[in-house]
Amino acid sequence: MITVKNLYKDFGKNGEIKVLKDINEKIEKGEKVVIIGPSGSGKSTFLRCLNRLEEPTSGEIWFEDELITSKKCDINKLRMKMGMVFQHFNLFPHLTVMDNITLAPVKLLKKSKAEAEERAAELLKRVGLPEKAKAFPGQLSGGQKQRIAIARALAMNPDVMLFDEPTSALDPEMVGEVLEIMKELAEDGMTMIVVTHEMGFAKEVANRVMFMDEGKVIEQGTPEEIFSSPKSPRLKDFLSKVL
Amino acid sequence: MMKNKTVKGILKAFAAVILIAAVIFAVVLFQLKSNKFSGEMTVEKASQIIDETFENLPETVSAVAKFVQANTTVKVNDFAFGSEKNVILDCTYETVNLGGVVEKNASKYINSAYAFYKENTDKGVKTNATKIKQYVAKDVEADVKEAEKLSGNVKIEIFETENENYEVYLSDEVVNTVFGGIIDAHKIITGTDSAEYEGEQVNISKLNTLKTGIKDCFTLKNYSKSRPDTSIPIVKLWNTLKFDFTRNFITEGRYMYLVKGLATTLEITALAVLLGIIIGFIVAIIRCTFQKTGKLKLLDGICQVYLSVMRGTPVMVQLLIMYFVVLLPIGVEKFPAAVLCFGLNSGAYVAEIVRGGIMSIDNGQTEAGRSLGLTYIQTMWYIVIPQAFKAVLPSLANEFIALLKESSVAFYIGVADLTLGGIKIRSITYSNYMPLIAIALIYLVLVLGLSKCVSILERRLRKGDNR
Repeated sequence: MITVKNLYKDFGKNGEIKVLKDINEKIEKGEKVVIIGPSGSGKSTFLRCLNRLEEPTSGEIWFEDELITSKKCDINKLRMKMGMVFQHFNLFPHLTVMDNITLAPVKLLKKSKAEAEERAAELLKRVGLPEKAKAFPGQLSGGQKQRIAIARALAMNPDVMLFDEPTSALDPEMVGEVLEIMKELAEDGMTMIVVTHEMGFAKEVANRVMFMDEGKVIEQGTPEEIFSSPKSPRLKDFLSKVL
Repeated sequence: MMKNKTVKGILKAFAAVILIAAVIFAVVLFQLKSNKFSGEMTVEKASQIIDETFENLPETVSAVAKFVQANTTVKVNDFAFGSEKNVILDCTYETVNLGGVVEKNASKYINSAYAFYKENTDKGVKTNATKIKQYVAKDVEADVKEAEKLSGNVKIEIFETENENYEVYLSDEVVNTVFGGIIDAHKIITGTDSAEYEGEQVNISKLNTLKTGIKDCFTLKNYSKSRPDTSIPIVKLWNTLKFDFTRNFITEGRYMYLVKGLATTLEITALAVLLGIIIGFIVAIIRCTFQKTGKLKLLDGICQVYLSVMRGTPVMVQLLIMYFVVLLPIGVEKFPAAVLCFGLNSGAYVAEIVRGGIMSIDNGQTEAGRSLGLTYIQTMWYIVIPQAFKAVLPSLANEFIALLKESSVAFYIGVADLTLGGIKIRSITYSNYMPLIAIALIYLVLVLGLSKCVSILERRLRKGDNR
């Protein structure tokens, strides 16, 4: 579904900060890939390159049979198929929960207002917040905000969902409710790429865990392989710190 | 807590109002005091002044004409408010901009005065200055009526006070014209017993009659209208204020100058702010786009030049250039010129305010919008701009207030705004403090009221801010 070839990403004026170094990956439909690794390892950058929120320095990214990294590609069309959930939720504070969810479907999928709202109500039910339709984001807790953000991304009926540390900005007691929604989503067969520090979630949900460090994928495999019998010393070191 | 604050606010406002009132009262008092006079104007003194005037007259006729225009007024005004300070020559000539008419027709009045004088002396009729004055005044009145299409109303009133200190009410223009004319006529005939007038040699032998006539003017023999004001000083002050107020605002509905002016000022400000907001937002979006994405480099350059020019030159100069250099040649009216100028000027300031607002919106908002598939423009329009607008609304309202005050320079190109309304009243009544303080007060009330609205708006917005 997504193929990444020789992906490089530099930051700084002369590209002196190399964040991603030659990433080659293939993500299949229905896969749940969890990316772990120390901070600064390039996990988020990699995820953000997939929908070109970060412009890759070089390399190719294919989404199904389209080359995302080409200049000719209509990235906005592709982004509609790739939902994204952010660490800081990024709900639109000037709009109600309902408008947050329906804005993109109405403007981009040319759905009627009623149609979009019907779907939004469904999604709100799914994330367990049907009563919050009229609320503003400022009136919600962090966990509720993130659930709304998930609903907002789902409203576009994406083929793949990108999660960029979705629980890192949450109070500990709210992490669970968000992970629960994500688990349900995984069970429904959604293709998911998740950057997270929640090892429990990785063990439980992932088909594949990817360990990144210093801009490279050091090791990957099933959760058992990664967590029970890590091979590289860096992964061992990392796991000893987080588990 | 809330109530306490409100009380405090009211007390503060009250204190401010009292302070302002005190300042105004002091100014008014000072004004009135400076108009108070002492000493006595006697017939001898008046006579002496007239004699001095006559002696100081220049030699040639052209010099006389200049002298009449430049100095007579001063002489008479000095006479009224200067060292003697005993006689008030107050303008009750009710029309606008008489000066031009008098200048244009000065020689006509002179000739007319002379002809009248000659006709009467030929007949052997005694002519005095009063008669000449009345005769010329008719001409002035007619000319003014014709020129201004207004009911020019020459009132020459001389009031006698109780203690025989005279209060003379004369229009400055009439004083100019009449005395200028008489003095000029005299100059033509003085020094010789004969002078050439329209190719005819005219014999003049009764110069003293003229002199006496002018003196008569000051001895007030022909005026017996008396208006004794024997009230105690505070009442007198009140009466003066009332008289000035009536004269400046009530007579002939002069307050309409202020009302219409205020409407124009508000119209200019509102339209200019609207234009400014449109321009400001466009410029701000272009600049932010360049800052964030590096696109639109050329447009950003143009915007930067626009900002530097608009913020680096005085609005007054911009207004003059906009109207006289750019728009007048292509036949644009004053009002749209003012709106355009203030709109462009305000646009530059609004642009910087809005740019700050847009930059203050978290980048995550743009990312969230873009990640859903919205285009850059859609993200700007549906997500960033509404938030930025809310954030800068108080600043925009303050810009409106600033512009309201700034628009007062519009009078310079002749837009009949509030300021020009005050100036017009002033040019009619020759009263300084009443109309000027009136317009200042109107601006002040507007600005204070609007500022209050802005602070309420700010509080509301903060309450609604749930981020």
